[in-house]
Amino acid sequence: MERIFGIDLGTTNSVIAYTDSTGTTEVIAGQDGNRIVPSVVYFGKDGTQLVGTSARQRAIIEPERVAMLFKRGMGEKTFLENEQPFVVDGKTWSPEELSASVLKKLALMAQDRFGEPVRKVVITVPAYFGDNERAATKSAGEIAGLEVLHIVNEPTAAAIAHGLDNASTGRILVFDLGGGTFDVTVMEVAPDGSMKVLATGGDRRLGGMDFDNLILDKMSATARQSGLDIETEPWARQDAYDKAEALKKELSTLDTAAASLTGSGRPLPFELNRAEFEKLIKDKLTATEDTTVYTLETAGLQPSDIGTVLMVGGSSRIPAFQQMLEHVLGKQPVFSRNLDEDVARGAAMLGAKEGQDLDPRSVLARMPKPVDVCSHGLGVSALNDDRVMQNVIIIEAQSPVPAHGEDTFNTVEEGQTHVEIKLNEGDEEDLEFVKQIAKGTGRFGRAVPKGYPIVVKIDYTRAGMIELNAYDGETGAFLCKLEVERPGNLSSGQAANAAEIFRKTKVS
Amino acid sequence: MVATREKWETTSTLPRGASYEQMLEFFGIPPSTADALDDNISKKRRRWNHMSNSGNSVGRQKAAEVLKLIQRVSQAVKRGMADDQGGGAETEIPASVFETLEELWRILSEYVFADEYDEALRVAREAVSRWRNADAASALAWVVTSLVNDAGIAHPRLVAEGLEAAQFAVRMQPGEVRNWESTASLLLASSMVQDAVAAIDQAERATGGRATALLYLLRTRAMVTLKRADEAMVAAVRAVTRAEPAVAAAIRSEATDVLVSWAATMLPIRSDTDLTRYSEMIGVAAWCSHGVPEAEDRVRAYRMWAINAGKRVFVGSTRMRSFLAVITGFISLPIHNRARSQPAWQIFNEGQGKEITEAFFIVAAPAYVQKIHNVRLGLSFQDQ
Repeated sequence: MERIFGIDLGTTNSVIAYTDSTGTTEVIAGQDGNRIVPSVVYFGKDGTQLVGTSARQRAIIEPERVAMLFKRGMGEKTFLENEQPFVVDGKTWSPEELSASVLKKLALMAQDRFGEPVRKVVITVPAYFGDNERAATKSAGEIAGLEVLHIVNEPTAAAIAHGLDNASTGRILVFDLGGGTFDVTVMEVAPDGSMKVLATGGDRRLGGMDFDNLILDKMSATARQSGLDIETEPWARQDAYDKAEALKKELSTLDTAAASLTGSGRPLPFELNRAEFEKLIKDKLTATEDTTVYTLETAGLQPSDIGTVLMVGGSSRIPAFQQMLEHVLGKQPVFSRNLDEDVARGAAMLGAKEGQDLDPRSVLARMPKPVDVCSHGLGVSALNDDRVMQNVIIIEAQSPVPAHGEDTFNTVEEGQTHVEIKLNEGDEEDLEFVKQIAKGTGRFGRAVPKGYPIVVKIDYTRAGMIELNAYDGETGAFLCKLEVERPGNLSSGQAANAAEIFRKTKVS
Repeated sequence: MVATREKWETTSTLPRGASYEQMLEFFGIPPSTADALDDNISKKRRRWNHMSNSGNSVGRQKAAEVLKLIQRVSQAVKRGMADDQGGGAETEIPASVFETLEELWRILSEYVFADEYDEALRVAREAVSRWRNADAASALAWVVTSLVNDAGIAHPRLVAEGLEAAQFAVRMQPGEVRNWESTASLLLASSMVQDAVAAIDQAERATGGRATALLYLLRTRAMVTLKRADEAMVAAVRAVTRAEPAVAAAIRSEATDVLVSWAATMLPIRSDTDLTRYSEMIGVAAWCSHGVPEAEDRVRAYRMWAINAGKRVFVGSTRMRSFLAVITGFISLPIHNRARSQPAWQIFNEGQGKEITEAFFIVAAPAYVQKIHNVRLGLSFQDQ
């Protein structure tokens, strides 16, 4: 039976794991012994790519040839803050292609470990990722030559890994604060291990790297007061950034941490205590608290309804976040067994279930497969009673896939001959807060009176296809069809092209 | 999804004004009572924090702006409260050292330009209590004025404190234009519009005709409030012509905003007189915006409507027109055209009726027309 691997494709770090037929999970280490691979890609001048720790080290010397944090731009044209494309030696690299490099590196690590090429994988994504981000993640896998069997929510994977260790049931709040993204999920775990997501929330631009940047800003300000400039060159900034990250990690266990800054040819001692650090991240802390409370409210729950608060992600080690959760939810959070690896472990367990060769006596074999859900609502644009255009949700977020929904709308003018139909992804009524993913025109073939009915049906298929059909509400005649097969950034052809180029690229 | 969200959490994206009551209203008070302020600030912040992660980049940007505003307005609302209610300035930063007037202004400028108004206020108040002279009063008035003008929001007690300092400084140093600027600004912020106009007139005399562009801009705002259109337009033009090169773009932009905001309230146009007033106002706003791309962009859609709203479009039956034209040897054509045509503003007001659907789509349906009318209804954020 072909092995199926679980991959946590993280914003800052990525991990690959494998669960065997007995339900035992192994997180796979690279040749350097590291099980956590920084999601960083370096482009060599000879056309080769370095991924991981060595790529990150190169960032100090040649930062313009190094890509990181590209997951933040997944499904979009670029991941850079300034919205410029990331270009090396004249070639533009999309977030999907960069992610493919990381996936290929992880696959090579697993190939070294098991002596056979990796083909099938389960990849995790943040729960709030929309369909285009999910499709882009799938594209990244295809570009890397992998068959992506499932895209799974990170909190679900973490809860599976944790649940199998601890047999938690009831309502769980998963607080996943990683290197680049933040995710909160409220889910219900039934005694048979099946999970139902009640609500999700998150911030695609909040994570450990933001805390590092805040420390870096403080370092720069301190250095400037002493007449030093630590940001004169990109490499100097990268060096200072690495020190900021090290300080942050130390402050999770120590009250005070120190580093030696280098600038203008002389060293400068820099010290930061935990209280100062917590003051620096105060706004971020408030943002995570707001998201947590809001997600709980969205699920219609009180803090007392939550049985387990599970913390995942490397940045969950920061004590201020644990204290915040304890304060808000009135109970001490628990940690997944390994904050950095449990998401990949959970994905690997799901992969093993896909493989069907599990020992029937294992706990994993008895656990039901998690149900795919729509990450966001699906709806259409329509005028409300005040004649303001708004999004009318037809399929609610978190509906199990395959999902079907329909609603009846009416024409608003006398003599209308056609209707324009816009399909939106998002949970808000305000059109500024939803994403239009397709549009089309339905023609009646004649003028119809005001108030004439139009039936709109939306289907979200198991294959991830979204299909909208509109019908004449009186005659039942077909009016219009909209299909969204691959709402990501690259078309099927582009993805295939990228995969072909990628096959010839050496990644190490 | 069972949580119930209150309407004010989402619909109100800007306080209606700078008064304390309007700021409270921004946080849903009423209908909530004043003791719900902290809860409501959190609710609104949570709501917009959630919206800032939507899949639509326009929405994300808007939510980020609203989040900033929530922070600023909540600080302003709390600034007027007692320290034990969260209104006190942070005391962790050591007191700034200033011995001379130059040092005082340097410190105040640094704080104000860094948006650290609490610190600037603390230092200015310290200067007033130490020096008890017009220089210190002038500095305090300037800080409060900056808070009102730049942050756009302040508590009545704070405005009163600034106004008292400004009026004292004006009495002591009547030739100092800055003191007049503070006085007029704070009078306007206190809704004492007639007094503000009188102060501006007095400033012109007391400073020997050195009234600044800012004073004329304040006069423009005052005239808008008093609904004196001609004088508002004259004051706006004077503000622009008096602006120093360093601030010319900002003055042009601000003058444009004031006039455009007023013009937006004139929509929809309901008569030819309305059209004339609207076109004049937008014409002056367009002149003010000249050379400042964002201001030009702001006025563009309004200007297009000012040009097009008066154009007459045929709304009758084209078949009937052809028939009459043929049987009358085309003599009836101009008469029929005239009789069966309407100005664009009227077509817009009458909506997509059966007869004028085609005309509506030609003149009144374009996105810019809908957009400027929506702004008036408070439906669009980007243009406010």
